[in-house]
Amino acid sequence: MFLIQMFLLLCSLPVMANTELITRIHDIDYGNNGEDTLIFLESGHVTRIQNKSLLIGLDKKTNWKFKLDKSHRILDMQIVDEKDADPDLSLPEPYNPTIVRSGRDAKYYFNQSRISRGETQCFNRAHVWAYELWKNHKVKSQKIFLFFSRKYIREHNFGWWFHVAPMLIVDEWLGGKTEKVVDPRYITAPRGIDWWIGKFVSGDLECPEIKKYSEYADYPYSENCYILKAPMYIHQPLDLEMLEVWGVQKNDFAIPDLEIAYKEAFQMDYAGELQ
Amino acid sequence: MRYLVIFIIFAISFNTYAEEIYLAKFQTLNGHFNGTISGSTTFNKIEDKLYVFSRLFAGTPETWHMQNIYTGRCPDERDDTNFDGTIDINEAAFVVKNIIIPLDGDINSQMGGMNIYPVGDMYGSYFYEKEAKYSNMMKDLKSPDTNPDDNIIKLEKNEKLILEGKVVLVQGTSVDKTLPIACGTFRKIRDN
Repeated sequence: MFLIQMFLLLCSLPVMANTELITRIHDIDYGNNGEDTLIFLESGHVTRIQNKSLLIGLDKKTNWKFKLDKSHRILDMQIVDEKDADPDLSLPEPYNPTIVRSGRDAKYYFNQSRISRGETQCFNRAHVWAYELWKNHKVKSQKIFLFFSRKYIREHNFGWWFHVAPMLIVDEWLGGKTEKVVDPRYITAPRGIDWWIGKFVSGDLECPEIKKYSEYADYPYSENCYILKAPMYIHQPLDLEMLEVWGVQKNDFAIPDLEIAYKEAFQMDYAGELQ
Repeated sequence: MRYLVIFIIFAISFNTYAEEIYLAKFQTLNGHFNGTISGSTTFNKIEDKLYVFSRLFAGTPETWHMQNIYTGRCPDERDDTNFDGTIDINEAAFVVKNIIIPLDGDINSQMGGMNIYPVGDMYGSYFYEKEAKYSNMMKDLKSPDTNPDDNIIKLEKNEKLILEGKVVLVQGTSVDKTLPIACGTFRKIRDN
């Protein structure tokens, strides 16, 4: 089923809206007799440009931030500072989650979450919960991914390689802010990250926080597990990998993701914009 | 006496979990054919057990990928000696030099599992994981070279296997099985 989801997601890419990515120019084909100039990007995209004056000053050693339409035409391009192009800054645009006013509000949102029955995929449940938090309550949540290493899977004969749920930042009445995971399938109230992890990881194992998908994928034997926090628009690990490798950033809920998520996790059709 | 016993137990238990991990992160080669791809190879030795894990993201779909550990260095644009914009396998072979460990169907020996390489899925990704006995692999690496004319070499009798600095080259697109598409250099990331 996961492969089907990935396939559908990949098929949906061409119909996605504008794309922003940070990359370098691999090559330029100026064309003949009024043909568009083609710019080959290191990300693999081929973009088109008609105004050749824009080509002045293009060089292949500079990182550029491109905004492309769905036909890969350049809408905007700007030089990016080296510090902005640092691969450690894996989320090019800052994402500011909502601060929920109180634990009581968080509990209320939790209780409003749809109930999922039967064998369903965690990333589809999480996506619907996150989407409805946004549409019904205007709450921008985060996703928290829990990745299990090859080492852990092997040693514990574990059956999953990742789990994901929405997460809220809650303003506590005693002061300070806490992070609460919303995973009604496995916990009965919004709970802290360690509590949530304890539902899946045996013993007192610590799961270090990582910022990029490759910090998990490249280290299959170094730790037992990892956590990664992401914007609510991220549907599944493939999105994290596409963000890191190609700079493809989701800045909105993609309709194909929602259609897949509703159908698989709740056996219902995505009904469009909720009021 | 009690401290001596504790020390010996500690020393034994420390050795029991001796572990080395090496990581080679891939850099894209010939990205104009394939776009940017990512991936890595991890080499994990725990006592006499060896686990090798490779992953590749976003190659061409359903493609056979030769992947081998070489003794030289990763090619780059300077190695495009005919200036055609592509680093072909002949240009790459000149700098990656010889194969020391084929990451094929059996890493216990160079010839075992020959040419059984991973095939990408319909999205162009693969995950490869093999387990071996390190002692078996080393025994094979120090055995006589039955085909000295090929580019697969053996270690000298007293030579150690030094993975640091060696490279993994991944080849293959849907139209050219030999085209180099990614390369990474091993770095040690853990040595207990």
